[in-house]
Amino acid sequence: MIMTDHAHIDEHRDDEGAKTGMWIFIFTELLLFGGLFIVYSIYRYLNPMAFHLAAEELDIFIGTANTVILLVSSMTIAMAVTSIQLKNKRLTLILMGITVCLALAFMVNKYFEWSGKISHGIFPGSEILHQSSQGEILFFGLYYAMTGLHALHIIIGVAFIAYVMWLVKTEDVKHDDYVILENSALYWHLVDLIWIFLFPLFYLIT
Amino acid sequence: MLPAVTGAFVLGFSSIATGINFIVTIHRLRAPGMKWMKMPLFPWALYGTAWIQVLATPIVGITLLMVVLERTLQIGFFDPALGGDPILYQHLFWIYSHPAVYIMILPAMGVISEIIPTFARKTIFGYTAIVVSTLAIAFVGYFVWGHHMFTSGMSGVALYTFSILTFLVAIPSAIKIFNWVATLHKASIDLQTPFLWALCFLFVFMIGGLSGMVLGALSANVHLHDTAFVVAHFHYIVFGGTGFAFFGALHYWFPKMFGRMYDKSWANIGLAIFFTGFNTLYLPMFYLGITGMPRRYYDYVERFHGPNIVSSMGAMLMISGLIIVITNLVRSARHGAKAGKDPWKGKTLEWTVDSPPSLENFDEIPLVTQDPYDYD
Repeated sequence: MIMTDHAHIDEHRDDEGAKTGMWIFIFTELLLFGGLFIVYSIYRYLNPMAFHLAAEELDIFIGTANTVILLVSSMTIAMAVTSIQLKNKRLTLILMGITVCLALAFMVNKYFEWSGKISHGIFPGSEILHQSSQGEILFFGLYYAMTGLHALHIIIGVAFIAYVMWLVKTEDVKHDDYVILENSALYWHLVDLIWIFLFPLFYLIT
Repeated sequence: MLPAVTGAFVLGFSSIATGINFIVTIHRLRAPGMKWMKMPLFPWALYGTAWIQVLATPIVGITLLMVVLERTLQIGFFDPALGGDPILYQHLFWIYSHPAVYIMILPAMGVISEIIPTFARKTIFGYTAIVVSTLAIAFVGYFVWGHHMFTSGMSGVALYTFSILTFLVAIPSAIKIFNWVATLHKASIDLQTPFLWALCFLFVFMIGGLSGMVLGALSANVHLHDTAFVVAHFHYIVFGGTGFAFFGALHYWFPKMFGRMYDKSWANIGLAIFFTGFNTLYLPMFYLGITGMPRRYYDYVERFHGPNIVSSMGAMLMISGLIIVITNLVRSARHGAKAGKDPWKGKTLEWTVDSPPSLENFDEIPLVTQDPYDYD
């Protein structure tokens, strides 16, 4: 990387550096989930039949709906970055608001999906799961662990975006100083991207 | 156990954050004119270390999280009773924990690369080779974790691969040793305390590194696995390597940190006792390990008694040396003679500012035009 200017030395601001740091952080998040993906692929390889049977228990409709919701929310947060560049504060706030609402819709779907499973007695340590094969127990263990960790990232992302919304409102984030909005959008794309991998692994490959 | 695992997870987070901070800082905040290949070798070492922290720590983070989920929600990742695989845990643990030892040794190597040219009054031999070997250690070190598990059960191909990679990772370390020694050739050496620590580092690090080769060989490993030999090897590298470089660095930058000099004769006496104690403590463990004493046992059969007593005496000697070294530093921080800006006639940027440095370090942003160790 080339040192383009030394302005940051006086005003302690370096947008390029902030974005570099965010990209590296996103990389570590991918590695974090990468550990789970390795564990998933090993156990899938060892228990192909059980994973096949267990995957058929999942509701493809809810999974697809959540995929569409997250893809649209990724688009709205990207549009929010463009609109702050165009100095349109109102539109920025509206688009970020839509993103937050979509994220909450994702969580509501998740709630119904999980509570449905739990009411059918499918959760780690349950009586019904105890009577299934070890592969099926592992599948649902991984399902709860991976989608749960992803849901935690959704919650963190919503909190991050809501915080940046407040900064936009107070004009601490504006058309010539919006790197934190860009970083929150980057984080949101990561959350989206991880779901794009989780969705086929659990819902589509049967 | 859950609080301990959660604590380690939080520590992992701080390790990742530190890594990101160092990478971004080194990319973005170098002084004007300081091109990558004009950067001193200590920041280069920190740069390599930071990448290992970023690349390896998330794996142990997710592993610890899986342990927490296994214990709280009965999800059987690793526990055979729940359908999991404990060998998988070993793999995930060592994917992080082997690179972690390079997190410990790389900064130490960076320190040695600073101390040696300063007291040799000579530019470092093979600057580029040291930079490349730093990055090579960070890279290859990521692929050798399996050598901790030679007796855990692995395919033959995996065993050979991890063994050959382990031998490969020794090459960049050896390149550094050769470069440091070559720097000393025909140098006008100033025998100050930091330099003596660096010399001791070279000695113990070579013993540690070569004994690592013994452990990396498959047949020898089966005999030596889980014996005191491993303990000796590990301590020669991580305590001998990192520890000696750490104290060398403390003495080297002490005048810069506190604006005062340490007492040289007490520092040297402390080092001599520490060095003698260190070798008396750990050398017998090589012998004990080869003759069959397992690690992690406080009790042993009669024939291991002699070397164990020698080892214990070495420990006490080493601790007395350590007490002398630390007491001297603590006392000198308040009562030592005043140090100027550049007590060692060093060439890197930190020696151009006040001791201790003023707020934000530089009153005027320096423009770098020379190589870091330009003594000619």
